[in-house]
Amino acid sequence: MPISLTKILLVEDEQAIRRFLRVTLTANNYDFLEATSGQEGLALIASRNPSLVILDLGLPDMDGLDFTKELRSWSSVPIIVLSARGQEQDKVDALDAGADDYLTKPFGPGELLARIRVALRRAEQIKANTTESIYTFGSISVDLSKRQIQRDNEEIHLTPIEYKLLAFLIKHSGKVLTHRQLLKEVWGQAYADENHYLRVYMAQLRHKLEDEPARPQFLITEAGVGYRLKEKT
Amino acid sequence: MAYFAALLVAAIATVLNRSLLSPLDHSNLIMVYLLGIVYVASNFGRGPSILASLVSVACFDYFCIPPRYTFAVADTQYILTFVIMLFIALLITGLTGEIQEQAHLAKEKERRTAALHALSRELCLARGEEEIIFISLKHIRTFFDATAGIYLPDKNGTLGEENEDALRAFKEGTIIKSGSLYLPLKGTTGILGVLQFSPAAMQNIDKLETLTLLETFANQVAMCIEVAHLTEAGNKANLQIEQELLRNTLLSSISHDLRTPLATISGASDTLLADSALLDADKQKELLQVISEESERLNELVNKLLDMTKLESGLLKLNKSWLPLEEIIGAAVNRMEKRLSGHPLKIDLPTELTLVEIDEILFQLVFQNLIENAVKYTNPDTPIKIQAKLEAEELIIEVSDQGPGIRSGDEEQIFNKFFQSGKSSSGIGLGLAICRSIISAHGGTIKASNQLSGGALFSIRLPLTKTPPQTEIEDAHLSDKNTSC
Repeated sequence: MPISLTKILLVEDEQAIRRFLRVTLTANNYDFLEATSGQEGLALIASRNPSLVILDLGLPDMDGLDFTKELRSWSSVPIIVLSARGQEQDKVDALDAGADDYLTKPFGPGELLARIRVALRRAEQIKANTTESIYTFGSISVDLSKRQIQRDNEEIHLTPIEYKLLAFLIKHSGKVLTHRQLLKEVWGQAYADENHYLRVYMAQLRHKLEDEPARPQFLITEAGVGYRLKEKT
Repeated sequence: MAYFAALLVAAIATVLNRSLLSPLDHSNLIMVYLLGIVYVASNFGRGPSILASLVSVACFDYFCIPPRYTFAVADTQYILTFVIMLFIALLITGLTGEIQEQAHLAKEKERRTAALHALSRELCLARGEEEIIFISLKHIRTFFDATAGIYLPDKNGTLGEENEDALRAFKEGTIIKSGSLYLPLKGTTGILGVLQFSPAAMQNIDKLETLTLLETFANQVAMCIEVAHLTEAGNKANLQIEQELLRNTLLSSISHDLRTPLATISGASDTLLADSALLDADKQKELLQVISEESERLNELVNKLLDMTKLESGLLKLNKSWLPLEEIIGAAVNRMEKRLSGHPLKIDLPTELTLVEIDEILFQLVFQNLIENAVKYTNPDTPIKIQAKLEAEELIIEVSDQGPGIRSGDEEQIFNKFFQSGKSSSGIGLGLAICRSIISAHGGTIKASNQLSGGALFSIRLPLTKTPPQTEIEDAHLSDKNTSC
């Protein structure tokens, strides 16, 4: 009986990167599809329905923001964005528009495969609507149903906003969340540009949850983009 | 008015002669008239003086010489007296007039010399074409009581003006007079522009001295403009030489630093492709390892070059926001975690959360470069320390290591582009130059020194001029809420 492989579509105009990813992804048992332009990519997603899209930000025919907006109007397929240095704003725009994650070129296959796994698992969880009620990282365990946080079985007190922030990060664990997304979710639309609120609360969370707040292991800063709760590995 | 004064003076002399001085001899009375004529000549000029001379002689005859109140004379020798008196009176008139004209000319000359002097003195201090023109026009306007303008050709040497007279003066190099006066500004290399001049009183234009003086002004201005052009050209040439030098350093440095990893990568991969049958698994793995490491190094070199280019291009806009110092150090350390291999890292920050207004991405780069620098020059097991302290209006951040330190004399040079201390071959000498660029863009300073206990110390000083924004902090605790429900 043939095993049905997970389909991944790469939208990338550079041949070398397509070659490299074709080899890497097929070797890792993914069904690899490729498109060289944004329009071709959108058409392939509509016809072949891949489980994940890897999108290069430097496409000749459309920018990442337009692609993401267009795709999000009819599909929720996870998108991982590939960006070069100097495309920071494009990257943040694409994430704000609904892309799921990003990788900066050059990247290693290990990193890419890890991001793919996280994105696929999250999509799976959303579809099945199952979230575990207890989430653990390091010595911290968070009981989402009881709203309780423990470090080595000792209770930690969080303020309501701190908890809301942590819960949102846990819900999207492994995925990068932009400043705007976090501010909108935790403080509301009116605070979307009040970055320092987020910074201060994030620091408070780190001081409560990280062993060494200046060298965080879980609550990771993605400079210029946002934050990510590092997946347990 | 002046002629009336002449008549008045003659009348006064007559009255004096007839009343107070009547006992005196006639020859003395003549002297009184002559005195009056001298006065008129020196104060009212030639015409009135001639009138005074004639009237004085007539009055002398009419009022003083018997028979009085008639022009007839009893003694005919008085005819001679009148002639001589008139002659002397006219002589005085002539001489006085001449002296006065000379005095006037001398004064005028002095005024012009002073004006020229003032112009040239101010022009000496002028920098650039624009200032020269501004100063010249100001002087011309006030000195000649005229409106004036200067036409200059564009970069291609053509005068793009609609004004045909100005164009003619520019092309032919001659003074054109039509409504206004157009004087070519003549330099040693050609016509540099045209001075347009229209005095408030148009007839002044025709005076020869005015024109000569105007030409002198124009020459002065032309000379200054020429000097300004030459200076500018000289500066440009110097800048070009400097840029050329920098480009050459860059090229030689890059070509070496980029070629080495490229040679390794292409060599190793070719070997793998051609001779894979001859290589055992371990050897193949080693070659792959080399390819991976060298690619990583190449990537870093290119990134640094791009960063430096961006910083130097002047296009860089700081994207500042308020963030905790702790967070930005954390982000940089996180990115360097793999490279720290074995180096214990100690981070010592003020206990209170310090918000600083900086560009997040650029500052992350600063800490990455400083950490990388420490890793590169010290032994793997030696600690690296990052600490920060707040002073009155400054934040001081120090990154120190326990390596060999900085070679004495290199403390400033290590921030120069492409400078590499000692034997290191794994960099391009841009990391610290990038740090300094970023810190200065934030208004701060970075200095390198050696610690007393040995090891390098990089110390960043950032001015804290603004107060950070306030964050409303909620007081309710989640746990309290939990217990209540």
